[in-house]
Amino acid sequence: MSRRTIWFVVGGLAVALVLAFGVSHYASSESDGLEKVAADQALDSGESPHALAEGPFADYSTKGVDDPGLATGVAGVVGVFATFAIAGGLVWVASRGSRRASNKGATTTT
Amino acid sequence: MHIPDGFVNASTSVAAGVVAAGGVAVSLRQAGKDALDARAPMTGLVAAFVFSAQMLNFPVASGTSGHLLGGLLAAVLVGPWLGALALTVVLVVQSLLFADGGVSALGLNIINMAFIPAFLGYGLFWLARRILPASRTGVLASTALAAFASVALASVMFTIEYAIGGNGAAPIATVAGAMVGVHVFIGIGEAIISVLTVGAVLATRPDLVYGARDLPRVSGSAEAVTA
Repeated sequence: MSRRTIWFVVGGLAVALVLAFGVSHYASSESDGLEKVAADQALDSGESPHALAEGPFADYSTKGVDDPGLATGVAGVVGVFATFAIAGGLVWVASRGSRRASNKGATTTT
Repeated sequence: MHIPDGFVNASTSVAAGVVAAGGVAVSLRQAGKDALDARAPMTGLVAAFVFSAQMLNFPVASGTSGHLLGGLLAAVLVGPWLGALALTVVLVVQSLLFADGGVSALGLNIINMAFIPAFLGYGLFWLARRILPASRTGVLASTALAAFASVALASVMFTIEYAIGGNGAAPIATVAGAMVGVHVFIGIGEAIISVLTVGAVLATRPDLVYGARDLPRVSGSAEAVTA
Protein backbone atom coordinates (compact mmCIF):
# COMPACT_ATOMS: atom_id res chain seq x y z
CA MET A 1 0.00 0.00 0.00
CA SER A 2 1.39 3.35 -1.04
CA ARG A 3 1.88 6.23 1.36
CA ARG A 4 -0.79 8.21 -0.51
CA THR A 5 -3.29 5.42 0.11
CA ILE A 6 -2.41 5.31 3.81
CA TRP A 7 -3.12 9.04 4.03
CA PHE A 8 -6.37 8.59 2.13
CA VAL A 9 -7.55 5.94 4.62
CA VAL A 10 -6.47 8.10 7.58
CA GLY A 11 -8.29 11.10 6.11
CA GLY A 12 -11.41 9.04 5.43
CA LEU A 13 -11.41 7.71 8.99
CA ALA A 14 -11.10 11.28 10.27
CA VAL A 15 -14.22 12.23 8.29
CA ALA A 16 -16.09 9.22 9.72
CA LEU A 17 -15.00 10.15 13.25
CA VAL A 18 -16.18 13.75 12.80
CA LEU A 19 -19.57 12.52 11.56
CA ALA A 20 -19.91 9.92 14.33
CA PHE A 21 -18.61 12.08 17.18
CA GLY A 22 -19.53 15.61 16.25
CA VAL A 23 -22.53 15.48 13.93
CA SER A 24 -24.46 12.43 15.15
CA HIS A 25 -26.02 14.30 18.07
CA TYR A 26 -27.76 16.64 15.61
CA ALA A 27 -29.33 13.80 13.60
CA SER A 28 -33.12 13.60 13.41
CA SER A 29 -34.55 11.54 16.24
CA GLU A 30 -37.84 10.88 14.43
CA SER A 31 -38.73 7.25 13.63
CA ASP A 32 -37.06 6.00 10.47
CA GLY A 33 -39.14 4.85 7.51
CA LEU A 34 -39.53 1.26 8.68
CA GLU A 35 -40.29 2.23 12.30
CA LYS A 36 -42.91 4.72 11.10
CA VAL A 37 -44.65 2.20 8.86
CA ALA A 38 -44.42 -0.44 11.61
CA ALA A 39 -46.08 1.88 14.11
CA ASP A 40 -48.77 3.05 11.65
CA GLN A 41 -49.63 -0.47 10.46
CA ALA A 42 -49.09 -2.28 13.79
CA LEU A 43 -46.37 -4.47 12.31
CA ASP A 44 -44.67 -4.34 15.70
CA SER A 45 -47.36 -6.35 17.51
CA GLY A 46 -44.91 -9.21 17.99
CA GLU A 47 -41.86 -7.07 18.74
CA SER A 48 -39.74 -8.25 21.63
CA PRO A 49 -37.11 -6.19 23.45
CA HIS A 50 -33.61 -6.37 21.99
CA ALA A 51 -31.61 -9.17 23.58
CA LEU A 52 -28.67 -6.82 24.16
CA ALA A 53 -30.67 -3.72 25.13
CA GLU A 54 -28.69 -3.43 28.38
CA GLY A 55 -25.29 -3.33 26.65
CA PRO A 56 -22.84 -0.49 27.39
CA PHE A 57 -23.53 1.23 24.04
CA ALA A 58 -27.16 0.20 23.46
CA ASP A 59 -29.13 2.69 21.36
CA TYR A 60 -25.92 4.58 20.53
CA SER A 61 -25.74 5.92 24.07
CA THR A 62 -22.71 5.23 26.24
CA LYS A 63 -23.63 4.04 29.73
CA GLY A 64 -22.22 6.23 32.49
CA VAL A 65 -21.86 9.34 30.32
CA ASP A 66 -24.39 11.92 31.47
CA ASP A 67 -24.20 14.40 28.59
CA PRO A 68 -26.43 12.95 25.84
CA GLY A 69 -24.39 14.46 23.02
CA LEU A 70 -21.15 13.05 24.43
CA ALA A 71 -22.79 9.67 25.13
CA THR A 72 -23.81 9.43 21.47
CA GLY A 73 -20.46 10.73 20.25
CA VAL A 74 -18.43 8.22 22.27
CA ALA A 75 -20.65 5.38 21.02
CA GLY A 76 -20.10 6.64 17.47
CA VAL A 77 -16.31 6.64 17.87
CA VAL A 78 -16.42 3.09 19.27
CA GLY A 79 -18.53 2.02 16.29
CA VAL A 80 -16.21 3.63 13.73
CA PHE A 81 -13.14 1.84 15.12
CA ALA A 82 -15.02 -1.45 15.60
CA THR A 83 -16.37 -1.53 12.02
CA PHE A 84 -13.01 -0.45 10.54
CA ALA A 85 -11.05 -3.09 12.47
CA ILE A 86 -13.50 -5.95 11.94
CA ALA A 87 -14.22 -5.31 8.25
CA GLY A 88 -10.56 -4.63 7.46
CA GLY A 89 -9.38 -7.64 9.46
CA LEU A 90 -11.96 -9.94 7.90
CA VAL A 91 -10.98 -8.98 4.36
CA TRP A 92 -7.28 -9.15 5.20
CA VAL A 93 -7.66 -12.72 6.46
CA ALA A 94 -10.04 -13.76 3.67
CA SER A 95 -7.85 -12.42 0.85
CA ARG A 96 -4.54 -13.84 2.12
CA GLY A 97 -5.11 -17.22 0.46
CA SER A 98 -5.90 -15.91 -3.01
CA ARG A 99 -3.14 -13.31 -2.77
CA ARG A 100 -0.63 -16.06 -2.11
CA ALA A 101 -2.08 -18.08 -4.97
CA SER A 102 -1.90 -15.41 -7.65
CA ASN A 103 0.52 -12.94 -6.03
CA LYS A 104 -0.64 -10.15 -8.26
CA GLY A 105 -3.11 -7.33 -8.04
CA ALA A 106 -3.11 -7.21 -4.27
CA THR A 107 0.26 -5.48 -3.96
CA THR A 108 0.14 -2.83 -6.67
CA THR A 109 2.13 0.14 -5.48
CA THR A 110 2.52 3.41 -7.27
CA MET B 1 -34.71 0.25 8.23
CA HIS B 2 -33.29 -2.19 10.77
CA ILE B 3 -35.84 -4.90 11.55
CA PRO B 4 -36.16 -5.52 15.31
CA ASP B 5 -36.76 -8.91 16.94
CA GLY B 6 -40.26 -10.28 16.57
CA PHE B 7 -41.41 -8.45 13.42
CA VAL B 8 -40.92 -11.55 11.30
CA ASN B 9 -41.50 -15.08 12.57
CA ALA B 10 -38.71 -17.41 13.64
CA SER B 11 -38.73 -19.80 10.69
CA THR B 12 -38.51 -16.98 8.15
CA SER B 13 -35.76 -15.29 10.19
CA VAL B 14 -33.77 -18.53 10.38
CA ALA B 15 -34.15 -19.11 6.63
CA ALA B 16 -32.92 -15.57 6.02
CA GLY B 17 -29.99 -16.26 8.34
CA VAL B 18 -29.02 -19.29 6.27
CA VAL B 19 -29.22 -17.25 3.04
CA ALA B 20 -27.16 -14.46 4.64
CA ALA B 21 -24.51 -16.89 5.88
CA GLY B 22 -24.25 -18.41 2.41
CA GLY B 23 -23.91 -14.99 0.79
CA VAL B 24 -21.22 -13.95 3.26
CA ALA B 25 -19.32 -17.20 2.63
CA VAL B 26 -19.38 -16.61 -1.14
CA SER B 27 -18.33 -12.97 -0.65
CA LEU B 28 -15.41 -14.06 1.55
CA ARG B 29 -14.26 -16.49 -1.14
CA GLN B 30 -14.39 -13.66 -3.69
CA ALA B 31 -12.73 -11.15 -1.35
CA GLY B 32 -9.25 -11.53 -2.80
CA LYS B 33 -10.19 -11.98 -6.46
CA ASP B 34 -10.62 -8.43 -7.77
CA ALA B 35 -7.43 -6.48 -8.33
CA LEU B 36 -7.77 -3.67 -5.82
CA ASP B 37 -5.22 -1.52 -4.07
CA ALA B 38 -5.32 -1.75 -0.27
CA ARG B 39 -8.49 -3.86 -0.20
CA ALA B 40 -8.48 -4.56 3.54
CA PRO B 41 -8.03 -0.97 4.80
CA MET B 42 -10.35 0.33 2.07
CA THR B 43 -13.10 -2.13 3.06
CA GLY B 44 -12.57 -1.15 6.70
CA LEU B 45 -12.82 2.52 5.77
CA VAL B 46 -16.00 1.96 3.76
CA ALA B 47 -17.56 0.09 6.70
CA ALA B 48 -16.56 2.83 9.15
CA PHE B 49 -17.84 5.59 6.87
CA VAL B 50 -21.18 3.85 6.26
CA PHE B 51 -21.53 3.22 10.00
CA SER B 52 -20.99 6.89 10.80
CA ALA B 53 -23.26 8.09 7.97
CA GLN B 54 -26.02 5.71 9.12
CA MET B 55 -26.05 7.52 12.47
CA LEU B 56 -27.14 10.70 10.70
CA ASN B 57 -30.88 10.38 10.29
CA PHE B 58 -32.22 13.11 8.04
CA PRO B 59 -35.84 14.27 8.19
CA VAL B 60 -38.24 13.24 5.44
CA ALA B 61 -41.97 13.78 5.19
CA SER B 62 -44.29 14.00 8.24
CA GLY B 63 -42.45 13.04 11.44
CA THR B 64 -40.30 10.46 9.71
CA SER B 65 -36.56 10.24 9.19
CA GLY B 66 -34.30 8.21 6.98
CA HIS B 67 -30.64 7.36 6.92
CA LEU B 68 -28.14 6.19 4.37
CA LEU B 69 -28.17 2.45 3.71
CA GLY B 70 -24.80 2.73 2.00
CA GLY B 71 -24.68 -0.69 0.35
CA LEU B 72 -24.64 0.68 -3.17
CA LEU B 73 -22.10 3.33 -2.20
CA ALA B 74 -19.89 0.61 -0.70
CA ALA B 75 -20.17 -1.55 -3.83
CA VAL B 76 -19.24 1.36 -6.13
CA LEU B 77 -16.16 2.10 -3.98
CA VAL B 78 -14.80 -1.43 -3.30
CA GLY B 79 -16.89 -3.72 -5.52
CA PRO B 80 -20.00 -5.76 -4.72
CA TRP B 81 -18.29 -8.60 -2.77
CA LEU B 82 -16.29 -6.39 -0.43
CA GLY B 83 -19.17 -3.91 -0.29
CA ALA B 84 -21.54 -6.64 0.89
CA LEU B 85 -18.96 -7.72 3.51
CA ALA B 86 -18.50 -4.14 4.73
CA LEU B 87 -22.25 -3.71 5.17
CA THR B 88 -22.58 -7.09 6.87
CA VAL B 89 -19.95 -6.03 9.43
CA VAL B 90 -21.79 -2.73 9.98
CA LEU B 91 -25.08 -4.56 10.58
CA VAL B 92 -23.55 -7.13 12.93
CA VAL B 93 -21.79 -4.42 14.97
CA GLN B 94 -24.98 -2.32 15.08
CA SER B 95 -27.02 -5.27 16.32
CA LEU B 96 -24.54 -6.69 18.87
CA LEU B 97 -22.96 -3.49 20.19
CA PHE B 98 -25.70 -0.88 19.74
CA ALA B 99 -28.88 -3.01 19.98
CA ASP B 100 -29.94 -1.61 16.58
CA GLY B 101 -31.63 -4.33 14.54
CA GLY B 102 -32.72 -7.57 16.20
CA VAL B 103 -30.17 -10.34 16.69
CA SER B 104 -32.75 -12.82 15.38
CA ALA B 105 -33.40 -10.49 12.40
CA LEU B 106 -29.73 -10.21 11.37
CA GLY B 107 -30.21 -12.44 8.34
CA LEU B 108 -33.19 -10.39 7.16
CA ASN B 109 -31.32 -7.13 7.69
CA ILE B 110 -28.21 -8.44 5.88
CA ILE B 111 -30.34 -9.43 2.89
CA ASN B 112 -32.17 -6.08 2.80
CA MET B 113 -29.32 -3.69 3.53
CA ALA B 114 -26.17 -5.54 2.42
CA PHE B 115 -27.09 -7.93 -0.39
CA ILE B 116 -29.93 -6.06 -2.14
CA PRO B 117 -27.94 -2.79 -2.48
CA ALA B 118 -24.49 -4.34 -3.04
CA PHE B 119 -25.58 -7.02 -5.54
CA LEU B 120 -28.88 -5.94 -7.12
CA GLY B 121 -28.09 -2.23 -6.73
CA TYR B 122 -24.62 -2.70 -8.18
CA GLY B 123 -26.13 -4.65 -11.09
CA LEU B 124 -28.28 -1.61 -11.86
CA PHE B 125 -25.21 0.64 -11.52
CA TRP B 126 -23.37 -1.61 -13.99
CA LEU B 127 -26.28 -1.44 -16.46
CA ALA B 128 -26.55 2.34 -16.16
CA ARG B 129 -22.80 2.66 -16.75
CA ARG B 130 -23.19 0.68 -19.99
CA ILE B 131 -25.90 3.06 -21.20
CA LEU B 132 -24.51 6.39 -19.96
CA PRO B 133 -21.28 8.00 -21.22
CA ALA B 134 -17.99 6.59 -19.90
CA SER B 135 -17.11 9.67 -17.86
CA ARG B 136 -17.11 10.85 -14.26
CA THR B 137 -20.54 12.35 -14.89
CA GLY B 138 -21.71 8.97 -16.13
CA VAL B 139 -20.36 7.28 -12.99
CA LEU B 140 -22.08 9.81 -10.73
CA ALA B 141 -25.40 9.61 -12.60
CA SER B 142 -25.28 5.81 -12.42
CA THR B 143 -24.52 6.06 -8.69
CA ALA B 144 -27.53 8.32 -8.17
CA LEU B 145 -29.91 6.06 -10.08
CA ALA B 146 -28.71 2.84 -8.46
CA ALA B 147 -28.56 4.35 -4.95
CA PHE B 148 -32.15 5.56 -5.27
CA ALA B 149 -33.30 2.20 -6.64
CA SER B 150 -31.42 0.24 -3.95
CA VAL B 151 -33.47 1.85 -1.18
CA ALA B 152 -36.76 1.24 -2.98
CA LEU B 153 -35.73 -2.38 -3.64
CA ALA B 154 -34.74 -2.85 0.02
CA SER B 155 -38.20 -1.64 1.09
CA VAL B 156 -39.77 -4.07 -1.40
CA MET B 157 -37.61 -6.88 0.02
CA PHE B 158 -38.83 -6.06 3.52
CA THR B 159 -42.40 -6.26 2.24
CA ILE B 160 -41.69 -9.69 0.73
CA GLU B 161 -40.28 -10.88 4.07
CA TYR B 162 -43.34 -9.46 5.83
CA ALA B 163 -45.57 -11.28 3.35
CA ILE B 164 -43.77 -14.57 4.03
CA GLY B 165 -43.55 -14.42 7.80
CA GLY B 166 -44.68 -11.09 9.21
CA ASN B 167 -46.25 -11.18 12.65
CA GLY B 168 -48.42 -8.11 11.97
CA ALA B 169 -51.98 -8.26 10.64
CA ALA B 170 -51.87 -5.39 8.12
CA PRO B 171 -52.63 -6.32 4.48
CA ILE B 172 -49.54 -6.83 2.33
CA ALA B 173 -50.60 -4.25 -0.26
CA THR B 174 -50.98 -1.61 2.46
CA VAL B 175 -47.54 -2.37 3.87
CA ALA B 176 -46.01 -2.36 0.38
CA GLY B 177 -47.54 1.02 -0.42
CA ALA B 178 -46.48 2.58 2.87
CA MET B 179 -42.93 1.17 2.74
CA VAL B 180 -42.22 2.15 -0.86
CA GLY B 181 -44.00 5.49 -0.40
CA VAL B 182 -41.69 6.53 2.47
CA HIS B 183 -38.53 5.01 1.01
CA VAL B 184 -38.86 6.84 -2.28
CA PHE B 185 -38.05 10.00 -0.29
CA ILE B 186 -35.30 8.31 1.70
CA GLY B 187 -33.90 7.08 -1.62
CA ILE B 188 -33.43 10.68 -2.75
CA GLY B 189 -31.27 11.27 0.34
CA GLU B 190 -29.40 8.05 -0.40
CA ALA B 191 -28.68 9.24 -3.95
CA ILE B 192 -27.44 12.66 -2.78
CA ILE B 193 -25.09 11.27 -0.08
CA SER B 194 -23.80 8.52 -2.38
CA VAL B 195 -23.07 10.96 -5.22
CA LEU B 196 -21.32 13.43 -2.88
CA THR B 197 -19.15 10.65 -1.45
CA VAL B 198 -18.24 8.99 -4.77
CA GLY B 199 -17.64 12.47 -6.22
CA ALA B 200 -15.25 13.33 -3.39
CA VAL B 201 -13.26 10.11 -3.87
CA LEU B 202 -13.21 10.59 -7.67
CA ALA B 203 -11.81 14.08 -7.11
CA THR B 204 -9.00 12.91 -4.81
CA ARG B 205 -8.23 9.26 -5.65
CA PRO B 206 -10.18 8.15 -8.76
CA ASP B 207 -8.08 4.97 -8.85
CA LEU B 208 -9.74 3.87 -5.58
CA VAL B 209 -13.26 3.84 -7.07
CA TYR B 210 -13.99 0.26 -8.14
CA GLY B 211 -16.97 1.29 -10.25
CA ALA B 212 -14.85 3.76 -12.26
CA ARG B 213 -11.82 1.56 -12.94
CA ASP B 214 -12.44 1.71 -16.69
CA LEU B 215 -12.20 5.50 -16.89
CA PRO B 216 -8.99 6.85 -18.44
CA ARG B 217 -6.61 8.35 -15.90
CA VAL B 218 -5.62 11.98 -16.29
CA SER B 219 -1.94 11.58 -15.47
CA GLY B 220 -0.59 13.83 -12.73
CA SER B 221 -3.93 15.30 -11.72
CA ALA B 222 -4.49 12.82 -8.91
CA GLU B 223 -1.29 13.81 -7.09
CA ALA B 224 -2.03 17.51 -7.54
CA VAL B 225 -5.33 17.42 -5.70
CA THR B 226 -4.49 14.93 -2.96
CA ALA B 227 -5.08 16.65 0.34
